[in-house]
Amino acid sequence: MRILIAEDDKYKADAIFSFLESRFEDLSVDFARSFSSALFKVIDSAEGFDLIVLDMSMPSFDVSEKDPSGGNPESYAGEDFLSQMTLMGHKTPVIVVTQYDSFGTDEKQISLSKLTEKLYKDHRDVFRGSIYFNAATNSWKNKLWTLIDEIVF
Amino acid sequence: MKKRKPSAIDKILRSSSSPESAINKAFNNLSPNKIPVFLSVALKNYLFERSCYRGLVDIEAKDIKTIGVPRELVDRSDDQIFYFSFGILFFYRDYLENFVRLERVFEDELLLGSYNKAEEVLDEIEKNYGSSFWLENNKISLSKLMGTDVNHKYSNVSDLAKLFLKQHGFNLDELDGESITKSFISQLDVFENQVVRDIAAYRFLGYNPEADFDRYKVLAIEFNSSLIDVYKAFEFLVLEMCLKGTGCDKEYDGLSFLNSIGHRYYGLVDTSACKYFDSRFFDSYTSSNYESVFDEFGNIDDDLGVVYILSKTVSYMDVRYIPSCFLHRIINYLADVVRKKNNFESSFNVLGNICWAFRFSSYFYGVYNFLLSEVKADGFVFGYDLSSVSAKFSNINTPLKCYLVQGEVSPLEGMFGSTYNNFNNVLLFGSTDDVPKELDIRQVKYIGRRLVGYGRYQDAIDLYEENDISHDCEMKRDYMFALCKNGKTLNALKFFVELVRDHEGALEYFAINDLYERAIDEISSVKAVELPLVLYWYGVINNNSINKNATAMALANYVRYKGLSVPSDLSFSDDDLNVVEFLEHVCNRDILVKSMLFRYQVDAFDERIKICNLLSSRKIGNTDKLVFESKELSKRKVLDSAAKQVSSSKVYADIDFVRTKTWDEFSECYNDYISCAPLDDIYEKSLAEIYLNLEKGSKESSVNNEFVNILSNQLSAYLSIPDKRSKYLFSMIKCVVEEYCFGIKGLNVYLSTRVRHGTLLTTLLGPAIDEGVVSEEAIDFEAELVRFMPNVSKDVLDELSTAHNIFNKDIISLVRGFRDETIQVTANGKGTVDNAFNFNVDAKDLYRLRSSLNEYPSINECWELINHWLEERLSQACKRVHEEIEHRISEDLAKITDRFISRVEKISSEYSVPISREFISRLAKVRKSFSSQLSIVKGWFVIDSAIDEREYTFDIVTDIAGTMLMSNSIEIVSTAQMRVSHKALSPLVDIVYNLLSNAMKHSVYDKKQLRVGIEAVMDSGSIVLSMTNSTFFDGDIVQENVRLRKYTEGMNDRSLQDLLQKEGGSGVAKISSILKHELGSKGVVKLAYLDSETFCSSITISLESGVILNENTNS
Repeated sequence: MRILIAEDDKYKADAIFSFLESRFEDLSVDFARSFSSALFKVIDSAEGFDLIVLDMSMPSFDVSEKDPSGGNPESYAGEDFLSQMTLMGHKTPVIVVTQYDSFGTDEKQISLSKLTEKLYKDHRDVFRGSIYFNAATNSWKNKLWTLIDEIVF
Repeated sequence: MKKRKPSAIDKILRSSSSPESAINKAFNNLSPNKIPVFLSVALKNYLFERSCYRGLVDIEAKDIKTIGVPRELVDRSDDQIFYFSFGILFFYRDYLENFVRLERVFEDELLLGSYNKAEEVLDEIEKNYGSSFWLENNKISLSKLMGTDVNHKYSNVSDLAKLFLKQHGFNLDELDGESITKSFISQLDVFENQVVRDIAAYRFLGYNPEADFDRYKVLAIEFNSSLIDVYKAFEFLVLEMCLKGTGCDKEYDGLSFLNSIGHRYYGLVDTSACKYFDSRFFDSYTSSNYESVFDEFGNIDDDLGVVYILSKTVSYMDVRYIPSCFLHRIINYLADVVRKKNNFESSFNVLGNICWAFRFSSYFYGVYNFLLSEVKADGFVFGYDLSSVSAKFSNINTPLKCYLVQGEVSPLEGMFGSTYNNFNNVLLFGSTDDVPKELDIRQVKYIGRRLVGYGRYQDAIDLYEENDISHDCEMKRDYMFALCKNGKTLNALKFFVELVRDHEGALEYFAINDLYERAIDEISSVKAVELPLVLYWYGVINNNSINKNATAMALANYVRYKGLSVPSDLSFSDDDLNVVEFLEHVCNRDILVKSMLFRYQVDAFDERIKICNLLSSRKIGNTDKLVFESKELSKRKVLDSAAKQVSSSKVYADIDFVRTKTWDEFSECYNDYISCAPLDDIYEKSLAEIYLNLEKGSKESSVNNEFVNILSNQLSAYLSIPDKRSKYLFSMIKCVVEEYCFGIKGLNVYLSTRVRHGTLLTTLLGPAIDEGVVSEEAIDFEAELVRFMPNVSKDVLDELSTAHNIFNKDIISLVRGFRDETIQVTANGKGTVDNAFNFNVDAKDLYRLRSSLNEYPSINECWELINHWLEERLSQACKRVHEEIEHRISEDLAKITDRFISRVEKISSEYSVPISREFISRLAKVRKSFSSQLSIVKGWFVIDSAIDEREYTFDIVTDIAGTMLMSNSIEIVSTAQMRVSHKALSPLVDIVYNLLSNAMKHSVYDKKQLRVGIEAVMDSGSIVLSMTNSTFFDGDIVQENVRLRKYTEGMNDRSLQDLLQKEGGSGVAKISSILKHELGSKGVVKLAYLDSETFCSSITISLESGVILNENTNS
């Protein structure tokens, strides 16, 4: 099972990795910490991935010697990633795992459920669902596993 | 005689003790369409003698005290509200019939330009019907047209009504400016209470199809106003239903009612109701005989069908009426919009604003819809066919109207000459018929559409290409559509790019969906520069993720197709406009970042700088904008690299994106600012007073209060602006602030995604969550306690659980409050004073900002000033967050935890149960964790040191200017030992950039051989900065230096301005202007050859400019 975890928050990336590691015996995981490195990994990968676990907000580029502070933060980097996948005709399934939910009155325009609805509509070939990540609970793990189960098995 | 069995209505009336209870019972027991019958009986019943519905005719604008939904209409269905209103209006139909007649007279006089007569009609309406919003609105708008003072018009209304009307009057000042409705639509989301939002939208926008509000709620709310206002809300609701062609009973019943009281529109196709109009008028038009239409029908009619034809006619002929009445002006504006050339945008805005001013007149509702049909690509964008508006709003039964309403034209046979035959011929044109020869141009249009409809795309294309369609935008759009349908995508793309260039501002009209879909399909095989360019233009209308990434991919694929690695390698001539536009617009920073041509951000940004430099050096594109962009990107690059540290701050807004996004609007406001004489005009003091009074005194309902508070918050700053010039400055600030705060790459979005969502709670409460003591979700804390204290009784467990629940709830609510109130943004009237990130502009800010600008500042200065103000505000906000964390949050977290610990100890002592040490130690750990986690969160709100205190070495200046010019191959030796303040950085960069680019331009050497030396010395109390460069001059140096001295000496403001324009904003005049206006120096620039191989430019900088020469520098 080859999985790409596109996530700039190390804590979250590790949590997702640990969970996946506990569920798959034959697991190969690649990490990307920005929009462009994630997309380049998809483009450059000869074997491709079986699944992509994607964060919604990431910087545009990785931190590197050339870019010591990395790329600018992008609130909807995940959506842009999905757009490029759709436009390129890539079919690798993508699950969005985000710390984004729907609280706060001013957030009603971009609540997770609305965003999910939109992503299903715009990227039906690749998008498989979104999960609210909350480190304090296990419910994200159950939801992630349910989605993976639908994709893989 | 047998007694009549009581009807359901009788029973309701007999069993009710008040009108309200009777109405409620009627709603509960009768179907909605029976309500009018009920009301016709009830309103005559003694029970309703004192009901407000019996006295509706006596309610006037001075009585309007609330904006809530009347009690008996709360939670009623749309049908119930509709038929209730219908019943009330039907009861007063005689009364309304006369009003409808008078309204018509008012509109006729207005359109004729007989304003005094129109005013008399309004007076008569007031005498008969009292005041109403409709009346007051029209009175104020009419006064504005007549140029009379509107202030006395507010005497006869309540304070609440005055609030709306003053706002209306105030906006009328902007009739000839930008779209009034557009700015209000963008602010609608400010209103959180739905009822307030609905009525505010209706009051300020009327039945604008772009205004989203609950039509039925508004109709119900209008029962607080006058009967006339109820009628108007009902009338528009019915008209909109008719436009949409809902076919429902409400539409039919409503229309029948309107017709029964003599309403002017929607007369059904019925020859007896058909208004007579000379059929030769239509025959001339449909035969393309426009001269005849224009010459022979001088006494024009105000019927909207006629107005439509006249505006098209003058547009096709490219002539305009010499306005002798208001209607002529309207036709001229419409013609500009139809032609989509010069004045397109301004005419659209002005006519749109006029329609807005008279928005409660159904005539102007029709005009506005016609206007919209000329700017939207999709005629069905609002749920109805915009192209049918003019026919539906006409009272003349033309074949088109007949066809639209009845689906056939035969009822009009014999009533029209060639029009009928032409129309019928088009209808009869069969799918396999040969295209007739020698069609006139109108027949080309309709036969062309017929061909497209039959899928005969090539025939349609041939037909359009054989004829001259250049005068008709509709046909151009049809032609492009046929090209798309026929698979000639490249031709369609090229044609679209030409159309956008020829019809600047009318982009949305030509942006048909088919072309967009074709363009997306072609991304992977792009071979023409027009493809990314077209996608970019579509993105201007709708910038979504798919579009943005499609544009980026098309850009990259085009570059690869050309065998290049970056777009700046493209070779092109200056007149190759498509490539120039591609480089200038499409290859912007954000699209380059998404293009996947670059593995590092710095490379993408460098490419953009290179493109800016490439275009500006060849003086193509918007040079000022390109140079400014290059400077800002270079500045950021050099400064970021100099900082050499990764910031932990999560407070961020993409100011480069904000600048690019707002630049055009910002420039417009700037130009208005500069062109406006710095003289004061009328101060809207009275309006400000009303707001204050309402804020203090209006406590009648929470709905009113919210409305007043929101409105005053939103407008107070604007209203307190004393003069037009400051108002333009305010607009400049407002457009930047809006994007900076709420734009897609603005502060609020980043605060939301980087702080408020998930991260804040996880970070702050993470350790407490890990210890199992705090949770956002319901947890079984009792089970935890049993683990620590296995032998405690149920009572103790219950007590401990209760204490824990309180603790958990308090902690979560404290952190949520911090997240949802403190870490929020308030600006342009959105948000509250509890939000730390406050970017509202008050009068004080405005005065301060204005006073720091000289009389005629450059656009760069204005930008820098506002940017500086934003940074200041951001810094204050971060300070406030720190204070909140240090004092309130930190203390409260400790207090809540301590309270819990002492409660646990108390329970332990009361029940003599020992508490597990591990449990106590866990709580202590949690208490400690709060403080350490708060430090982390504090780090998110640390931004650079105070902007004013920032200082840079001169190397930074040369680095930035060098980056702008991509001049790493030039050898620059600088011995200038200077420190530059933040304020002086940008102007000094501009100067060095200009000096360097002049050196590059005028030197005979290429970049690699050019040597530049920079030094600075103190001379007579000023700093003299000299730049020498290698060159070769083959001539009389003394004579040339005399010429150069004449060129630079004695430049006054006027000659400077002339020279600036001549030079196109670069060179000596630019440098002198920066020295004078931005660095407060004398503007001395000296140019001279030191010898035949060395050229020297020197400038003199005052010591007050913010540039300091280091003490150890020789003087």
